[in-house]
Amino acid sequence: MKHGFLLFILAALRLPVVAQDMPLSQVLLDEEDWELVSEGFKFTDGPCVDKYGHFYFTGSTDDTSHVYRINPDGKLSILHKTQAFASGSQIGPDGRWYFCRIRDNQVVALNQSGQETVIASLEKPNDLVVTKSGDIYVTQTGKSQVSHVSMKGEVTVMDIGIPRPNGITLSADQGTLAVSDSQGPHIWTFRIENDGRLSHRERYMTMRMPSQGGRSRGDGMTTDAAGRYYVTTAEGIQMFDPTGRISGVISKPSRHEGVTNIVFAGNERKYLYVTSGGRIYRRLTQAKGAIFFE
Amino acid sequence: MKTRLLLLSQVLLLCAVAIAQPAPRPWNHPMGTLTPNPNLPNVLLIGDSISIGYTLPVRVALMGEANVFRIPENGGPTTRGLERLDQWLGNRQWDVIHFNWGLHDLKFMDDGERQVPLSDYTRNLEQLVTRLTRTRAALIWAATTPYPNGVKPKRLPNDAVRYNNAASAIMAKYGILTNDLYHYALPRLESIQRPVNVHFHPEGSADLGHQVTLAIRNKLKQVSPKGQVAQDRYQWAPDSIPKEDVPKGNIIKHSWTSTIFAGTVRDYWVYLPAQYDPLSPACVMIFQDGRNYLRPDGQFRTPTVFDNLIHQGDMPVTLGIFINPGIVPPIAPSQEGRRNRSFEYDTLSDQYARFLLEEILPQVEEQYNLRQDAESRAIAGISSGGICAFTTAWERPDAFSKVLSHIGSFTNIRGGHDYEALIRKTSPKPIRVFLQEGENDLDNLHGHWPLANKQLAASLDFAGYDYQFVLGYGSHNGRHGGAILPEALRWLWRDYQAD
Repeated sequence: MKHGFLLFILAALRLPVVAQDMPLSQVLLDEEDWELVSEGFKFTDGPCVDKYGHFYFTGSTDDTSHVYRINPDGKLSILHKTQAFASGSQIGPDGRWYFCRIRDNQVVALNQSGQETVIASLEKPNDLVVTKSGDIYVTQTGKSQVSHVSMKGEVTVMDIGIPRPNGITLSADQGTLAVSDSQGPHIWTFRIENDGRLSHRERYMTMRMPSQGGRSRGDGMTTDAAGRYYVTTAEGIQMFDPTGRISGVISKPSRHEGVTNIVFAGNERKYLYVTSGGRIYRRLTQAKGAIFFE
Repeated sequence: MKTRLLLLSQVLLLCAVAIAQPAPRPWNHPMGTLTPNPNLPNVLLIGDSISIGYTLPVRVALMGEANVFRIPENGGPTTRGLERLDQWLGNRQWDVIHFNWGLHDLKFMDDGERQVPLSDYTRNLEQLVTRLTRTRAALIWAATTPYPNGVKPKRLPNDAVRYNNAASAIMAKYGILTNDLYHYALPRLESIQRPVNVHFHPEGSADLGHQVTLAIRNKLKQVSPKGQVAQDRYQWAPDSIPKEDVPKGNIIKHSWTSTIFAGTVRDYWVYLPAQYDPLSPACVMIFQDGRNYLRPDGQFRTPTVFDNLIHQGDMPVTLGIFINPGIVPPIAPSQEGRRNRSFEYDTLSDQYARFLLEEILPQVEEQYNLRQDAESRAIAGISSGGICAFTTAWERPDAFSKVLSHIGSFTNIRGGHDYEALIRKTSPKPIRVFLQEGENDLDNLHGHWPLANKQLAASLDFAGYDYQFVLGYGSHNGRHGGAILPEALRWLWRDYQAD
């Protein structure tokens, strides 16, 4: 009670409350390691999760790019047969899957009965996130752009200038949009305004760069329920606390293959799933993934 | 930098000569004293040149915890002790006395005899102990330290042990604790002692000083009220308490929306000293986490300290700016907003310096007549605010010259651990740094705060900076820093002269 009252006073005075430390040990489990879940693809990307913990990704072979589903028990099945590769995907508040079809210059939606609709056409959409209110934010890496796509399909450029905007996610409370740069060291954040516009642009997080030099390869991003941010990079999976401080770097499943994208899925969304070349790996954690569609 | 240091030592010398001056004497000299804090226990060090060597490290380590005095001269042999002890003890109430005689007693004189033979030493020492017990202070006997063969004047290799054994018997009889500096120093003698000399390197003296500090701290636990933990022993000095006859400054609240930290909002407060005269530009000191430094019931109580020190002439007429970190306010009540504190304070860049110089200072300068030279500007902060203060001066030494860091986060929150390396390989910047830190501070994913601050202090020393490192006992809070704030401000502004 006393403690609660103190917190209330602190909040009332807007005192700088020291941010909670979030070491890797709060997320990783000693006895757990990466476990190979699926392999045999040429490339994998576009991971996302539904509210039951089903994990979805696009896996391409020489002539197909199907959307696959992995149940919490590990069973693999095909959700949607297609030839178009999706580099980013998310489930929206309407229950549809939203995909970035980077080579087709399209954002498409797939409904529960397997019907595809082209939502918008824009140049090389790489990755996307969909908010609870149905705002879609898309990174256009080659154009150094972040665009907004409304459910009606209107496209508005919201930010220009991040060198190579790539991964994209929201804060747990959906007030902040975070975008990784695959070139430089920063993850940029914005406040999402009521009309969907982006403001308060800042280089809020700094990624660890490869010791041998080169690009950060800041790529896919996700968020957990405690507000931590995760980003796949050349150095591994980097984790940040909600105040933007790097909390640690989780080693890649394989030193031979990069990690490209990431999401929490499985039972209670406690498994960190990554796409890594032609393989899917996961590992059990103490964290729980955030979802943005409800 | 070297010239600065030389000038500084001359100033200190002048201060030492002008004893009659009522202004606080420099405590960063063994024979000087802290401004005694009546709320703290009094500690007296009695001893010869070995104890002169460790006096300052002990005094600094116990700042805010105890007033550490020493006798105003070399304690010499027991015979000098018998002559002067009453005078040394004076009428101050002593809580802990840490004492030694021996090195001068067992020394061979020109007549080929020891200055004080063992039998006389034993008798003298017992007499001194009897007198010391009458003070009712907690007593700590320090064993005589070892010395190598061949020192001049002559001392026989085994005499230190013989004299120490005699002393041990007396201490046992009177139930007095021994701080066995002999056996502490012996195995590390080569690294801490000067060659063929009874004296120690400065680092060696600091090492002994640490042992003395620990012994005194243990005693303080016993003399302090029961159950009081070490960090609670930090007590404010009168300079942190409002005084009726001292004019009080005004505090005016403002808020600010930044463009350099895009769209962030924050409050800041201006402390306007009562002595401020619009015709004469005032100095400036900027505090990060301003609200924390401002609170009249907080750990720092900075406005009161400013009132008192400015009134006493211990610091110039200084306008305080107390700034909170920014936040990106939430757009909906369900959201928390983005806290910008770590980004603003922990990032190694000039962004925060630009924020102060291009946004806050011009705003304040519109209303008040402020000095703009680096000598007249100081900056302070706690934890991440501490490294922020350092970063600001490091980036813009042309604009800020004085840094006060409390439990500074010179750790890898956002690369701050680099400073200890950067400082060593960067041409020295004209920055004066006061670093306060506690042995029980954080050890977490970002780093180890006490080690980081020690590293930083060592680097500042290496590069020839004008710095003062005070390593206390506390943890990650402002109790220690608050208790010694007046001393820190005196040190930072000690030789300030406008123009």
